[in-house]
Amino acid sequence: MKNVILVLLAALLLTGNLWGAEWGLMEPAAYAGKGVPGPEHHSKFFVVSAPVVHGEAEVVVPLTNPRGALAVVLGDRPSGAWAKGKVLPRKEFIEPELETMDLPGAGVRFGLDALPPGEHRIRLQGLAKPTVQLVVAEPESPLELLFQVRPLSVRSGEEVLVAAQLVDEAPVVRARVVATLSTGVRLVLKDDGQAPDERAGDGVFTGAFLAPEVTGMTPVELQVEAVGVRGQGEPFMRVAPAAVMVTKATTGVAEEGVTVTPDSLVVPITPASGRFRVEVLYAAQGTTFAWAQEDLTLAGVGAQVRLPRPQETWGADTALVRLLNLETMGVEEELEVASTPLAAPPDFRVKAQAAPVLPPSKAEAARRFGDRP
Amino acid sequence: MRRGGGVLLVGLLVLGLSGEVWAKTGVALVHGKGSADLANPSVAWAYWGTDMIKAVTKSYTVPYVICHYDGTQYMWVAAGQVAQQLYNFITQQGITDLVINTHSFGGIVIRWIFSNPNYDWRYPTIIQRTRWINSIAAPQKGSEAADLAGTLSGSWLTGWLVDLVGQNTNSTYNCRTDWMAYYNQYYLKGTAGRPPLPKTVYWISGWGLWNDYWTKFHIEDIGLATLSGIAGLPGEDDGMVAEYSAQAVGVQWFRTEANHHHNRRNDFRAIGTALSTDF
Repeated sequence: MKNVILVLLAALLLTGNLWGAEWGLMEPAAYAGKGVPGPEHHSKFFVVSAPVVHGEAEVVVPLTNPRGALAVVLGDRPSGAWAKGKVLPRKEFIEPELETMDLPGAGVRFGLDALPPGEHRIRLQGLAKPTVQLVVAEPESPLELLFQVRPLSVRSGEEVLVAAQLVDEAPVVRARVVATLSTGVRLVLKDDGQAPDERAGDGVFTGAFLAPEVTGMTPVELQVEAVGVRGQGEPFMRVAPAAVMVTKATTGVAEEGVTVTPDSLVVPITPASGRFRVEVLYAAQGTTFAWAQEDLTLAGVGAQVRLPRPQETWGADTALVRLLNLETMGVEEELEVASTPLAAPPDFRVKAQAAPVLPPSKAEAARRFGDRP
Repeated sequence: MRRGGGVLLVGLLVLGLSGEVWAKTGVALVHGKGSADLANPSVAWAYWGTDMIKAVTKSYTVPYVICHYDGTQYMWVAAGQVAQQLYNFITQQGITDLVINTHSFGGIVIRWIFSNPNYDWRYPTIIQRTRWINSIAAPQKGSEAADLAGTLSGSWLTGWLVDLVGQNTNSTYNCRTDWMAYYNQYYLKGTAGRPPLPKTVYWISGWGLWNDYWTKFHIEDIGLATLSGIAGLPGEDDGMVAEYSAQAVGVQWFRTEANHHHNRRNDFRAIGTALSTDF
């Protein structure tokens, strides 16, 4: 036993890494490549606010399709709401579960079904707070705002593209689309065909900004608001959030670059301090199918990290190499390395057919306790 | 997964040192996000409810640990607290066959542990001793409800938005769809295009909203239905987590009509009884 411990300690001292590299095959999946975009946010809601005077407030709400539409006040308890002389149906709710997402656990919802499309002045009364915010959702509306940043992960100083698309039955007549960043920057997104926008009038409003200097890894939040007039002449409003993860790089792959040998990938890392991970995803013909990674600790020095390239990965034509910072959770560098295949690519059709099977006890439980299998 | 021998060696070492030959089964429950008070064992117990815990443990006959961590923290911080409790449970009770049941963000916390075995010296033992994980309604790809919380708490915005809900906690940021897309891409295993997890995850996803409202007039169930409506959770959802997200990691166990409030309890549907069939 003492010998084993001595060997482990010796490995730790020599490599700064107790564990060594690990690797494995994975379920084949489309190769994502470097610089993947953020998720696409879909919004059919917006938020309006107004000051409260003597417990009452008036908010202007542009409705495109009131069927199934809701107006919700969270964290306050208006006693009633009216629009065009009609009393809006009201329901209170209490749900402590909402607090787990940092939302108020109590609120009031008003149904908007009875209203026609168009702009409405909704009067609320019985409010306790100095300002009211009304979240309005129009789930049946064909007008949707799609919002996305590209890429999701950047280094300080790199460019981030911001795109907001307005999808509707007919092209919108006019729109003002503005993204507000948590850095305080306001970015007017344009659909004018001028770079970075690709095509004028296609309903995709685009802008760009440079990722700011940050400490470690810091997300920059964005909120886009689109206000305008639909093809049918009705006013509309939509809002959507997004974020981009910005890393202040402290290290990277050294100039000589990654060396590919028949049995390994050697990744030279510039001097740094901290805990890092080097990861590689192996892909062939646009399909990722294997991985390798190694965690290491650096104390002001560089390293030559040797990741395994086992025979099972020889069919790969691409290696996506990532250098991650395990202290800041940042992405220090990401690069694609072309590799000459040493074997035919795996037969992904065969691999994709292997479906997981539930253990018998779980299969029985699923029959007894599951709904809508 | 194959490696340079580290985890296998440590696993054998732990097994050898503990002198375990026969499997001893245990069960762990890992709660979701919430307040800092969830670090208190009694608050974590109440999160699940006695009926649920009693059902899962077959009237306390299966050794168990109810993990309790600060529900406001990022997954790796929460994982540190959970790992200590799991490690103590395993080593002090000689557990060699652990089933981990998670709800909501608890599934992300556990996925952090199983995705990053070298991050913490306790992780390899936990991974090695785990049979499998049952993940109830985990926001594996994030939750649009957390995105909405971000929209409403935008204190950095000027003009039309003012603070309604205060600052989001780190765990709410962790659950936003952009954050989870990032972690899924770089730091977590188990989603498409990523390395597999070392142990199997069986997911349970919720698709119901109103649940008891029509029969028992639970005012609570309106809240989740409302949130589902305004946050625009895509497809079917349990009021807090869309099914596409809960199903993004692991193997299907079953879908349940129980909403996010009920799918961590043994009331509207017998979720606890279902979990107990593992023993």
